Amino acid sequence: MRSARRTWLGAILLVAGAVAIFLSGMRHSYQYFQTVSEFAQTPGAYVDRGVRINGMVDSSSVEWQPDSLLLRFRLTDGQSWIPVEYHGVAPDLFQAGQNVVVEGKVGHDGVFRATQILVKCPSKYEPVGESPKSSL
Amino acid sequence: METWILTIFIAGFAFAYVLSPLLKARGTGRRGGSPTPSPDPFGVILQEEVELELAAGKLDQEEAQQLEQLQVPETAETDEIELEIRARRRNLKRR
Amino acid sequence: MTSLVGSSLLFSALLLAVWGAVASWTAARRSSSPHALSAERAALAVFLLLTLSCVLLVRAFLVHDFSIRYVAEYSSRNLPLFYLISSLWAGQAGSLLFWVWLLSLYTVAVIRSERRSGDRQLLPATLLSLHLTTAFFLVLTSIATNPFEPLSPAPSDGRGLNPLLRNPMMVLHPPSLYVGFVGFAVPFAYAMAALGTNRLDIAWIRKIRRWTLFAWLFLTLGNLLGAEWAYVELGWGGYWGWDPVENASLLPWITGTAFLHSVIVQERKGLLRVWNFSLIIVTFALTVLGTFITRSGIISSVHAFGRSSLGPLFLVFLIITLAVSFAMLFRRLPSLRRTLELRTLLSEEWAILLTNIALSGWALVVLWGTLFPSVSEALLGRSLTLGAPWFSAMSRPFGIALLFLLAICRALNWGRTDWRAFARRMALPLAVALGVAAVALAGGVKHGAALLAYALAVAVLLAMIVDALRIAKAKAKTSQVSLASALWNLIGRQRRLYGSYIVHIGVAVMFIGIVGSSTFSRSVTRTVSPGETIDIGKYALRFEGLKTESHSDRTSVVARVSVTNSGKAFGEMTSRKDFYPNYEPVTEVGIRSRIHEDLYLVLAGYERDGRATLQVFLNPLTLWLWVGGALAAVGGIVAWLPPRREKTQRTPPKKR
Repeated sequence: MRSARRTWLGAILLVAGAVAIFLSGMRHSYQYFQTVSEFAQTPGAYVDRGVRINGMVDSSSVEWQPDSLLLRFRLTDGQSWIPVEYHGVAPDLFQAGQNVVVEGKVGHDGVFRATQILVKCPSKYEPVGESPKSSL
Repeated sequence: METWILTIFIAGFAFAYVLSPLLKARGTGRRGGSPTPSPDPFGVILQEEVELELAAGKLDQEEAQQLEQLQVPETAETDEIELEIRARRRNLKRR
Repeated sequence: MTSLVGSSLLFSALLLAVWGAVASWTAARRSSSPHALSAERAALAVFLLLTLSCVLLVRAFLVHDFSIRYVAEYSSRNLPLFYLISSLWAGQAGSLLFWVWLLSLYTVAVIRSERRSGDRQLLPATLLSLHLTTAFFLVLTSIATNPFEPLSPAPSDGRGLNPLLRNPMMVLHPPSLYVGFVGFAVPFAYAMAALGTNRLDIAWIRKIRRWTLFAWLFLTLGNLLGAEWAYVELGWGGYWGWDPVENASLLPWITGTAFLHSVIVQERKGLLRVWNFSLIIVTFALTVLGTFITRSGIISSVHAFGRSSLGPLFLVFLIITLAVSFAMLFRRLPSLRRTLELRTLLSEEWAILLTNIALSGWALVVLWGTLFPSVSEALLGRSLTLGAPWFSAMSRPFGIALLFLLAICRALNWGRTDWRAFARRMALPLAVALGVAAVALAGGVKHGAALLAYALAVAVLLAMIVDALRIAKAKAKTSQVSLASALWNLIGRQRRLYGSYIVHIGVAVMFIGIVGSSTFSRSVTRTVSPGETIDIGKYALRFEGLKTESHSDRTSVVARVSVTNSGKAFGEMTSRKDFYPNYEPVTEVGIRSRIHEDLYLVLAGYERDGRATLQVFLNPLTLWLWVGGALAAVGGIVAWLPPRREKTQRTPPKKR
């Protein structure tokens, strides 16, 4: 019986270890998911913290420098706006007026440096045009 | 409205087919006998697997015997009797 | 007219499914065979009515009947025949119809196989669950999202199929995923029947073996096709992004895999009964959740969940299913409990148990990460998300643990393993694995986890082959035939065992591909003028210029690149942007697949002056992911096939 108890003890330790790793991983990985207005109220709170922001690409704000691969645009939700910089290539569906999610960090200068731009398409299966319902 | 009329029409035909065993059964009071179960091919395969594992040294005799005991159905018989009793009781009530 | 007939067919099917549930309930309670027959006929009638509905909808696509909203939204006049037929499952309403049609087909197949087997005691109760599930999905298709909903006035042309979905892989991906999803309804129904009728012995486990394997096989294929589609169509150089839709189809695959293994412990040792019931209940619930998520794509927010018309219905169905089935399990707990008698850690049953713990842990992590945005929003009032890096990092230890268990499991005995025998059996795989790790280290692979994974994958490969040969040798000895003919005989006869060797070899090969492509992928992005080159690894890609092509259904801008490999010509590659009317542009990537790496070219953008922004990926070993996946599928088929009958009559089996 002693060996059985030992194996159970081992199993519990194993699970506890896994949970510990799991929780410590969580602490460093989660990101706030915000709308533009929520973010713009207290941008200071998010400096150097991973954030995801959902908003619309402000029309006539998109500026693309092909040589340095720098993409600049303003993200808006109609009330507030945030300047965004992205070093890399925009996804296919990226265009002015499109609903997008940017992932990255905000600097002390207030410019949001995106590491990823996700175009919000409600589902691979639904037609792209009909996506007014996905506003968080 | 038209959808409902057509639905009733289609469902009517389907239900005539689906309900006919019940109507027939009421007439004759027939109760279908259970067919004799055919041997389970998987049992044969499992037995072969065990023989192979014994030959390859992956199983000892103790395990093999335990395994054989497991293959005997456990609750099936008692349940069958219970169901049979229930069915008879119901028939008596109906009469 | 089509709309009228189609809706009537769906309503009739709903009425029949409800009656089927009532009849099978009565049949199971009173053991009344007329009711049982009526329930079986109801299943057949539902199947026929739904087949007619599907035919009707496909016909509407073929004749471009745009007075049906669904047809107008998902097809157009210039769509090729192939895509017209597949439009049936291109959108939510049609794919739910397809789902429930598959379920009715499974139900009829279950009845057929039960009629053949002779032992039909579990059938009425099994039909009860199947009819109830059918009825729920028919409520969805006939009332909530009816694919036959009319559109007036009918437009002259439809919207067309989303260009991202115009890919053969995407045509096959949803149906195979669905065959897998729906397939788990069958083992679930048998489990409920066993609980409901108190037949808790080995019978249900045996009946569901091939059904589960079939569902698992198609779920595997569906996930692989989805990954391949993402790789060739989405153009970000990878194949798995951990988005909720992907996770939703991965989750039931993980728990289904755990179930396939844990039932073996019940079959061989009579243990883990409660665990098996729980696993199949959870797997079924996850397939329903998966159907919902893949259809609506929303999980990022609880609000979105509530806003979808289907969300509340799915949620209610899920809660009822889970509550009722776990209540039934709880009721049988006293007669299910067995003392867990596991003699030593070094045994096959322990290895399977640990595999199950690892798989369940992984499933929990993925589920947690997938639902995290909703959970955090509900609890904290703000939505927090976990990104792909988190999922990858969390999955890594589980992958390593699973590979380790795979490597050692075949050297273990049932019950008790002698240390020395174990060491003897592991010697060769371990030695070769260490050799491979040493060679890789010398070759410059410095990544610890990757090294470990490679070594373990190689150990799995060898362990499987060694064990397959060991069993064949034993067979050759006992029946006095050559090793080759014993092996051939065993693959025909012991399909489950030998299929599993193939599956596991396939899994090891897949791991090699996954580790290589996820750890050592490189990429370069540059804007180039015609004549300029981009260097990556040993390759030099010279941009030859842009070209515009007009096709009947689209206009394309094509970037041509000529490639040299270490100075030698390596042919031409192209990537293009396709412009379909009514849709945003789609990028088609260029891929050159080789044994050791993929060269992957993306036309990311272009300027008016003829310059193009090109993104080049070098993905090592990606090919092996598909090869391993194909092997796993072949193994699954082998294991699923019924055993070949022996020519000579065997002595009848002893009483079991």
